Amino acid sequence: MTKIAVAGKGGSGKTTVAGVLARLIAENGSDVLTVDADENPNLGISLGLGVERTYELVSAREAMLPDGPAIVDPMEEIVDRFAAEAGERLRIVQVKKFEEFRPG
Amino acid sequence: MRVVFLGKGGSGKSTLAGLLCAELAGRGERVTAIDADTVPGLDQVLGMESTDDWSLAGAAVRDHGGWKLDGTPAEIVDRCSREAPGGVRFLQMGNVDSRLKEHEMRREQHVDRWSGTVAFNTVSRVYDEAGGWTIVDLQGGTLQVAGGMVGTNGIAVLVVEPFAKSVLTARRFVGMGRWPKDVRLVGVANKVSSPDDEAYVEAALAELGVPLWVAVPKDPVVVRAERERRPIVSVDGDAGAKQAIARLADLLTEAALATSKN
Repeated sequence: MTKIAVAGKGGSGKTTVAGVLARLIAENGSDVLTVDADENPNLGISLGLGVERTYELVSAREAMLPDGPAIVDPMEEIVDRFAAEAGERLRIVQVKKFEEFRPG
Repeated sequence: MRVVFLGKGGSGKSTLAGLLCAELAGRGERVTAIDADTVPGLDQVLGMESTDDWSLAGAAVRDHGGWKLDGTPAEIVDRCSREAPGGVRFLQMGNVDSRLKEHEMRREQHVDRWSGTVAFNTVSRVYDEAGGWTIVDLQGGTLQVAGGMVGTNGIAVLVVEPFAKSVLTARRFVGMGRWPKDVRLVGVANKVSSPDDEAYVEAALAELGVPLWVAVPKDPVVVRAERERRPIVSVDGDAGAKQAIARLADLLTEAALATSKN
């Protein structure tokens, strides 16, 4: 398994590069799991899911318990449970998103 | 009046915040600028050299399980800020590298990792009440807003580019739940290069119930200044981006006056 991490300044095009790369690798016949680890996750848009489906993606953070050990389920299970199909041989897992306003 | 810039990473929060600081300072207003981004850049926009200092580190200290400021807010601003050209007071929360060093500092100097955030919240709250302008450049995305750094009053300026990802980010901000009732959320379109661009952002914001206050054109003068490492605030007065910011300053001033009358 090869892992590819894409890093850079905000707005530099990380998500676009990651999305195009994932699609090209999947088209070449490999299974691809994309992981959107941004707290403001937009990778679904670059993969072609559109605004609505990207907005509705459930984040795998919900597999974490509020207290106690961070993750109790095996990673494969978490991926199976939270991954959404994004095309042939292509899946996406969103790690987290902040949805709640918490005045400090 | 606290004005907080929100938006997707790279949407232009720092650039617009810096131009607004210069515009307000040029009108003789007292302006305090706070860069809360972990990829700070507001100092360069304001014409200063960048440093890796975490200026608000240690400004709040633990006290009986709570917090107290290590000095009055005015003393903290004096001690922790630098003066940018044009008379803007500038503070920064620190870059990603300095925050990694927090852990070390915490051990050696007993500085708590939340010190900067607590100091930011306390200092900006006091400034909110004291008059003048506190312009805050937040980290890209929704994390700091979810953490309450937008404050409990003032104006939140949502910077939106004419792109789907930027619109989705805007939607997340608005959909985050109940905003404090005295925070006013307004939209600014940035990097606009056609009437279609402006219409796209305006329609997206209208759907979210957020008014579009100003459309800032994609401005080659600003792009060139950034590339040549000249302070963006030094750009020519006739540049489109600057005119749009002057309009934003007018609207903010009107809003501040309306607030103080109530």
